[in-house]
Amino acid sequence: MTEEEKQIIRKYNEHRKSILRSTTEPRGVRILLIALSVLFMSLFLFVPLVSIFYEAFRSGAGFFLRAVSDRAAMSALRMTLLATCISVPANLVFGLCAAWCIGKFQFRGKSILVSLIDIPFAISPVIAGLLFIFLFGTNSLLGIWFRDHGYRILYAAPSVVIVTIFVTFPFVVREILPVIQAQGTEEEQAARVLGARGWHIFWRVTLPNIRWAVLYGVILCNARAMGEFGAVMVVVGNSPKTNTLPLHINALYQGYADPAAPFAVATLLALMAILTLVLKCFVEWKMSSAESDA
Amino acid sequence: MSIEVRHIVKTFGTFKALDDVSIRINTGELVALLGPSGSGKTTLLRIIAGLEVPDPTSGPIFFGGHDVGSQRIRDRGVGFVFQHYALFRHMSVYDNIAFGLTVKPRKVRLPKEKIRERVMELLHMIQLDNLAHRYPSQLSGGQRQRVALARALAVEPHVLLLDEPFGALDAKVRMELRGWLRRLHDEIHLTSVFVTHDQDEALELADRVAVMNNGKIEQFDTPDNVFHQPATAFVMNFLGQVNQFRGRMAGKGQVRIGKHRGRPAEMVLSRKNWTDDGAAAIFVRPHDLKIVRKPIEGRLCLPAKIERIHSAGAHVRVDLISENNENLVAEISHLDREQLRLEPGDSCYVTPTSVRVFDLIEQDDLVEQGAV
Repeated sequence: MTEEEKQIIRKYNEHRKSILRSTTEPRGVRILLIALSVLFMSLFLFVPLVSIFYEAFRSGAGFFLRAVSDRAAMSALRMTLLATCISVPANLVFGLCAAWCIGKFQFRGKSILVSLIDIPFAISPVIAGLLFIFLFGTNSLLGIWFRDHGYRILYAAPSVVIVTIFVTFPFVVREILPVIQAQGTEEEQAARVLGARGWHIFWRVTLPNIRWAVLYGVILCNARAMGEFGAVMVVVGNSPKTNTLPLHINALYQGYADPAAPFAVATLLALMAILTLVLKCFVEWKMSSAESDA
Repeated sequence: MSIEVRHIVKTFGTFKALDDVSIRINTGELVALLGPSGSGKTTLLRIIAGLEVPDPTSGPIFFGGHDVGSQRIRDRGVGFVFQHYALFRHMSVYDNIAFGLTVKPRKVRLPKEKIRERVMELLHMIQLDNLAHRYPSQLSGGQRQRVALARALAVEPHVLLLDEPFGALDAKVRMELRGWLRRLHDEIHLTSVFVTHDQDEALELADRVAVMNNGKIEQFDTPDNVFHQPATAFVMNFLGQVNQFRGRMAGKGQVRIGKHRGRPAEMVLSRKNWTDDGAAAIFVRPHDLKIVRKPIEGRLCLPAKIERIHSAGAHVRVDLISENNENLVAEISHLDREQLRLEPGDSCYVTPTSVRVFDLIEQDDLVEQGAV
């Protein structure tokens, strides 16, 4: 390398550094900001998560297995899965329908519908629970009708499912709607001119275009459905028969059971949450790559 | 297949997009709907396709003599090319083109191999044989446009409708595709209608041009006729650059433009059937405006000052300003410019060699437009 070449490279490096200096923060500030966020994340997220697992296994693996496999825990897991398995598909179907008609058509009362969708986000889950107590209570018309026909809604599985649907209701719509609105209706029109029927258009044109948004909405909806506490607590109280996982954990914690027991059950919920998180990351990654394709 | 619409009206809220439009397009014709934005050209195209429903008071829509007004889109047999192509983004080029064939009811659907043959044929026609497995996002604008056209043609439509087919492309690709589309039309002779706001595109490509304004068709004629014999002041104004003078009709085929040395400048025109003493708009194309150094006896010569000279092009464009502060444009040859030794700032005279006069009383809209 000649002296001249060396000088050119040196000049180039200096130039690069000066550009970096003018477009980024000083090194100290950067380190401080990163350190602060790492510290915050570990204090508020990582440490509690680890401590759940630590507490759960403190009394040994045998105790852990017994705690998670006892009848009450199993029943709570079943109830949580039941509520999730009904509310997620229900909200998926509802979300698709609502997002489709809001995003693709013009009609009267559209803005009212859009704001109605947000109600479960806006009000506290406890209020949501109370709402259903009034709706299905022993003094209400609906409550009397169901009682006369031999159905038990409150303090039973149906109310758990209903409030879970209510609370998780906006997740799917809210995820799909912006995507549908951004894509417009030209592709659907093209399909229509080419001879496709309504159902075909939905399956072959609309759905493939929004599939990642749908999945993302389902995952968020699922996470919330599994974790809902307040609203369910209001409608079923605290009976071992209708406990969901969050309620069961609370009961164990409040009761006289071994202090490790609630943590053991909590690991189940935490594991499901972590699984959801991994799925969510995957879908987000897929969505962004689908976007950069388009 | 011929297309005919009669007395079509379409309103969006209080806005009248189409105001009693009738047009008849012959079998195998290539017709352009030309007009500024908001003139209703796209609405008319979408109504022909069935993507938009005309107001109930409208007349019928005929395809080859059959009323298709109440038919569903898929039964009309139209091929539609959207302005932004509207390709299915999650499907390959092959699947995009095959879509119309694969969504047909099982009874009339072609077998898979036949569909494959047809798609390959179309891919060959649009010269994209080896891009069958690409996705729309991996194609250039011009390629997407051709895929959209192949997709529309795959279902063998009776009529082809194109909404601003070259609107989103750069100038060079536009020119190429324009020639390609004309040759394609000459080969397959499909009745085609395209919407454009680009007059060059309409005049070069179409057999006939419908010039639209404010929801009405102002003139429907061959490119030659709309350019050389514009029916209305709007058409004259819209097609190509034009100089406009205000004047008065003085009877006996005379028209007065402005004032020259205190006296009205007059010229005698052959057209005689106008209302006497009405306000008139006088149009002169830039190439019909001659520049002279000295006034010519017996001709209308208006004094003007040269503002700018653009000589980069086949002709020299001269921007002038008249005594009455009207901006004028003249187009002269390079030879003329040299002989006259024109320079910016020079004083000279302009004399029209050909004019068109429109009656301002019948053409209310014109008063608004002022000098060009």
